[in-house]
Amino acid sequence: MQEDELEYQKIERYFRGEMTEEEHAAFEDAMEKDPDLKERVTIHSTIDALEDEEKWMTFEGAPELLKKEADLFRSEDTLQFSEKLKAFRNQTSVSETTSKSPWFNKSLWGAIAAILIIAIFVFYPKDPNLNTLFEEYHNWEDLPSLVTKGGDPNDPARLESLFRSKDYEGVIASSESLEIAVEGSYAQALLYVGAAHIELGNYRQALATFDRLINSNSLDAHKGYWYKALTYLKQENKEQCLEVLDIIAAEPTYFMHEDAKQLLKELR
Amino acid sequence: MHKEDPFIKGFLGGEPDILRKIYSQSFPTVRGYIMSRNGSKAEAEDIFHNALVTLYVKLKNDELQIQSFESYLFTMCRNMWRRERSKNRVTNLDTIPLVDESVDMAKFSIEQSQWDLYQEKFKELSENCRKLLGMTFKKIAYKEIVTFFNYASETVARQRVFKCKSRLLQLIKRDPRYLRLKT
Repeated sequence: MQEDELEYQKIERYFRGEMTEEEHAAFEDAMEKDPDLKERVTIHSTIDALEDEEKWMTFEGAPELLKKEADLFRSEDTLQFSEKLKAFRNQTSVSETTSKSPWFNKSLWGAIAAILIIAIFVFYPKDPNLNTLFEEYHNWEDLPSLVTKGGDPNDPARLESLFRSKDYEGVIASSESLEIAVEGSYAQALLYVGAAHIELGNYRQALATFDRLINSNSLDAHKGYWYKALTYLKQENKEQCLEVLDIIAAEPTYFMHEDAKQLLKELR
Repeated sequence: MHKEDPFIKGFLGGEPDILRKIYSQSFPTVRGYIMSRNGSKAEAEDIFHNALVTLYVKLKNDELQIQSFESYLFTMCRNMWRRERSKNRVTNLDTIPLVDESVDMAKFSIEQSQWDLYQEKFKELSENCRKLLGMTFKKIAYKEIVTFFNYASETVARQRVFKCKSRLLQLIKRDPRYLRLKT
């Protein structure tokens, strides 16, 4: 085996944490004494981090380059450009100014946003198309079929049969007596509870139920986004609906990804 | 796209029409990406703002040639978010030093240039190497890699990965930009 291949194996073991304490110390010592080795180790780790969502390579050294680059960010024209962006953002998205950035006068914008929100509710005509779109896009047949757990008093499948028989009040009452733990088919049962709330017009509770699913560790957590978007659609709350749909559209693996993209097109 | 392109010119000049187009076309995707990873809307807005400023500096100073403004901007936002997250993971809140924001943005800008270089060199590898390394990036088990490429054993697969990485390492080190970014 070639020497460089042996070195590569060492680098791999170093990053996988497979070295003994002595080996680890010796390897770090070797890197300290041999800058070329350190450089190769850095490049290897950077290559591994290229597409890794959990990692990012940090920049070390080269103070001259860093100073030069920082000067570009401090230059007058860059600062002016940044100010232009801030001004543009303030003008165009008043209702969305939730940034922690210091250039916002929060109380002033807060007051303006509050007036605008009231104005929107009072004067803004609701878009009649949204309800039609809800009818077109919602399909309770898409709700996952729950596996029945015979003899389990907390059997989540009970909710499904109540829902299918349109006993929405029954679904909610049962969900309260069933201690729905947010895991496995219990997590999926939350979709029936949320859908029952939509059918009964309890949108706030529907949103809270879907949020519970989204914030869970369930593998099905992402499904909550689609039903949350449907709730906003039913409420004719276009802005919030678009926001949730954008989340689904950015993730190809999320439930109803293609439908979300299509719906976004129709809404924009 | 270069500095004389009308869209880039408008962006560098901070023209409201161009900014409106950028915000309406790109911000929703960035916000969707960040919020689906437990980020807030305010964080998405800050990332988007900082990415636009970084892009301004890079384009203005001829550091960059891009094919598509929209996709490059998204890549930058994604990388900036990865960076923020990895910073938060390793930094204890009590020990965060007060860093000059321009220095931090300059650091990111250099890191982004390094990332661009690595990506460019990665594309120069053979298709086989790209596929093989792509699978290791996704942390696919060597057992599966052996089956996929029909290798004789895991040892063979590891040797191939080593060869591909060494080739990439050579390509990166040979590029004059590598030295420039290092010193």
